[in-house]
This record gives sequence, structure tokens and C-alpha cells, in this order.
Amino acid sequence: MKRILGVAAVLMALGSATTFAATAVDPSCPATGVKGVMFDWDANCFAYETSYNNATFISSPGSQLVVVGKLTITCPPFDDLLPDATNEYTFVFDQLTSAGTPPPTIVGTTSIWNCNYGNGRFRIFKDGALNAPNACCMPVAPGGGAIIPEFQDGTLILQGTLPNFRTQITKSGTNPPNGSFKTDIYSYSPLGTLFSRTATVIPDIAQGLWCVTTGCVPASYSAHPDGKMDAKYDPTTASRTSTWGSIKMLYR
Amino acid sequence: MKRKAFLLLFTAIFAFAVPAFAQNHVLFAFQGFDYQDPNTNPNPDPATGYLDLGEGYKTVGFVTSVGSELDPYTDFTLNEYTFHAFNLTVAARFYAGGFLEVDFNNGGRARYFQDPKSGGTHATYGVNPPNATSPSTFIDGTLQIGGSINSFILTYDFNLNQGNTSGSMNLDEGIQLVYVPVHNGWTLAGLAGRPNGTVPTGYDNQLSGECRIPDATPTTHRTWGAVKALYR
Repeated sequence: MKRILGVAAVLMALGSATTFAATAVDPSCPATGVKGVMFDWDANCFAYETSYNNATFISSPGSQLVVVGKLTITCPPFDDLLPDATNEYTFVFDQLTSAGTPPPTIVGTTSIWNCNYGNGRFRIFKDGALNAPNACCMPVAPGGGAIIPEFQDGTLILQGTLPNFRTQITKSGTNPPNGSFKTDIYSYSPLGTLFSRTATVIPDIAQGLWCVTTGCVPASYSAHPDGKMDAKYDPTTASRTSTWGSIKMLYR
Repeated sequence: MKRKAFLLLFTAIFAFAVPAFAQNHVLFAFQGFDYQDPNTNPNPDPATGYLDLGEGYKTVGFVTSVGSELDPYTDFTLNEYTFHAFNLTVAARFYAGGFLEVDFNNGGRARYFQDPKSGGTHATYGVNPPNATSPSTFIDGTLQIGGSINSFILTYDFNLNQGNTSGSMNLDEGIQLVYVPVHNGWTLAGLAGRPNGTVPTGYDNQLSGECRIPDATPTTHRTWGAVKALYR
């Protein structure tokens, strides 16, 4: 009897991860079972640090990096999270500590600044207050690595780790500087109201543009990231890591 | 006295432009993939083959958002918006120590299109482009915005598998062109990321980028007291 109840509980948990309102999927979303974008953001995202020189692109060792933004696109199994007149979906990358930017490497006409910020955290929030500022109207970035509160209010829906977060800024000849950011494969933490949906998701990496040109970045900010978090949604391979003790608990 | 007060008020309104934060303005953002066409040297080795001299560079993808001037004329619920860059030919390249810099000829083009979801053709990447659906399903529909691309550069660090693209863009075509007050001076830039399981066979990098222009430092409204405080 206990085993039957335990199995039923597992099946119900797995079923609930995929039982949600059907919505029109954004055309940029990958097909089921194919790796691609899971979350995308565009203009409304900025980064700031506790010790960074915008003119030289040098981040000091120990500088705390924060990224705040608003999602533009969500893909299955999160495609019902539609930014609209009712809700906004904000995200925060934090707990990122700079290893310091070494002097640039020069290859041909290109100067290259690399910086690694180690392992950080990502959090995604659903907020009906619709109060997170857009790109036009960013406040002065707070000091000390504090988070702009309007990006972390509302309901925490997902959280996880961002491993090996790094940026690369390049400047070629007389072209304006440009850049990119990238992480290793991220992972979900068992936190957030939608954690159960991650049972059908195989995470991948986060990456995107890292704009540092004058006029791209408001004063007191260090960069404008425009990017995405990739993953593969496959409802046929629902799985979740667990411990032997947790599994035993299901059948007691 | 009244005249003096009026003149001071008039001056405050029109002369004391209080600086606010400079802001980046995005016209449209996109994500997609790039590929070589023509790919006269199919050797993928960045030292000798990838984006060899004279080879073509193209991108296809989806527009993920638009700026405020295009937003009233854009409906992502009813339509699919696709992106295409082409006419970019490798003019010069430099490779050393795992780092590649590729300079392209001037006169490239970038466009984005509107295709209705009902009755239109869903854009499909397929494999090994150009193919039966790429770029054809990314360039059907109605041309919204297009322009020339100059000074386009791709840099890629094969040690870190991380790179970017950037060029200047002048807008000159499309039915939405009339809604954009400034046509010249835009920047088309993006991430170039590989290798990654999301990149379909035959494509090289996944792209995530935007067409943007740095705004002039805008003004904000302030009270006379706030203005005076600035100059004390």
C-alpha cells in the first residue's frame, strides 16, 4: 500500500510539472526535445559593479557584479510566463565576484579584455507590481553590490547557479568596443514556485552580448547585456537528481 | 519684477537642460544563427578555413523585441518577425593564438520581415544552409526595416569559445522606416557563441544581438529649486 501511494505521489509530481495553461509558443523557441533558448532578454538589462572602470574596461579583484533585467521571451515549459499588462518577469544575477581584469591581450588590431566572475546565482521573479524600470529610466546603480529592489520583488519562481561567469570585451581598430558574456552549464536550485517544472528541462548555458560602448550604458552601470539562457525541454525524460534517503522516504 | 521672474523661469526651462543618464536605444533585438555562404573553403579550421578571404557571411533568426517607435506597428501575437543579414564578404582576416578577427566589406545588408502566423510560413533553420527553408522562410513576408552594414567585424576567441560581431548600420528601406526619426548611425552588434548543442548542423555560431543607437544625453524636467541647487 505504501509503495502504491509512493509511486502515485511521484507520478502526480511529474504530471504537475507539465500541467499548465497552453499558450502560443514564441516562434524563436526550439522544438520540444531540441536545445535552444529558454529565457531571452533584450533592451531592459544592465550590469553594475562595485569597482569597475568604464573607460579602461578594468574590473578590480573582488568587485561584486550584479545584473538586473526583464525577460522578453519565455519558452516551454515556461512559455505561459508572458510579460504583459498583468505581470513582468524580472531576473537578477548576483554573488558574482571579479577575479580582476588583466591587461588586455592584443591580437592584430584587436585588444581583448577577459574577466572571470566565478560562480554566481540567478533568480527569476514574477511581479504584478510592474515596477521594474525600463532602459530609459534606470536609477543610479546602488553601491556595495546591493540589488535594485524592483527587480527582486514579487514571487520567486526559479533560482539556480551560474558557473564560471565570464566576460570578454574586444576593441578592433577604430571600431567601438564590443563584448560578450558566457557561463558554463547552469543548474536549478530547489527553490521557487516553478521548480517542479525543471524536472523536464535539461539546462545549458547563459550567454549574450555585453555592450560597453558609451551611450549603451547609463552612468553608474558597467554594461548592457542582451542575451539568453538556453536549455532543452523534453517532457518524455522527466528526471530529477535526488538522494537515496529521499527515495526511501517516498516508499515508507 | 514680474518680467524678471518670467525671464528667469523662461531661461530655466530652455537653458538649464538638466543632464540625465545617457541611454542606449534598441530598435530591434534578435537571436539566430550564422553561416558561411559561399563557403569556398569548407575547412572549419579557423587558422586556414573558417571565414576565409572572399567567403560570404550570412545570418538568419528571429526578432525578439522592438523599440518604442516600432512597437505600435508590431504585433508579435499575430505575426512572426524574422531577421536576415547578407552581402557580407570577408575582406581581411587575422588569426593568432586561437583568436580570430574577420573584417568584412562595406555594403552588407540587414533586414527584418513580418510574416503572419496565420497563412504565413514559419521560419525554419533546417541544416546545412542555404537549404530549402533557409534563408527563404526568413525573408518572406513584408520587409519592415532594412539598411546597409559597414565596418562589420567578427572576433572570436577559440580558447574561450566566445566572440562577438559589430558594425554600423544605416537604415534605408522598409515600411516601418517612416517611424524611425534617425536613419544613420545605428550599430548592429551581437554575441557569436559556439560550439553549442543549439547550433543546427551547418551553421557556425548562435547569435544574440540588437540594432541600437546611443541616445544623446536627454533632458529631464526639474523644478527651479532643483536647478538652482546644481549651480550653487
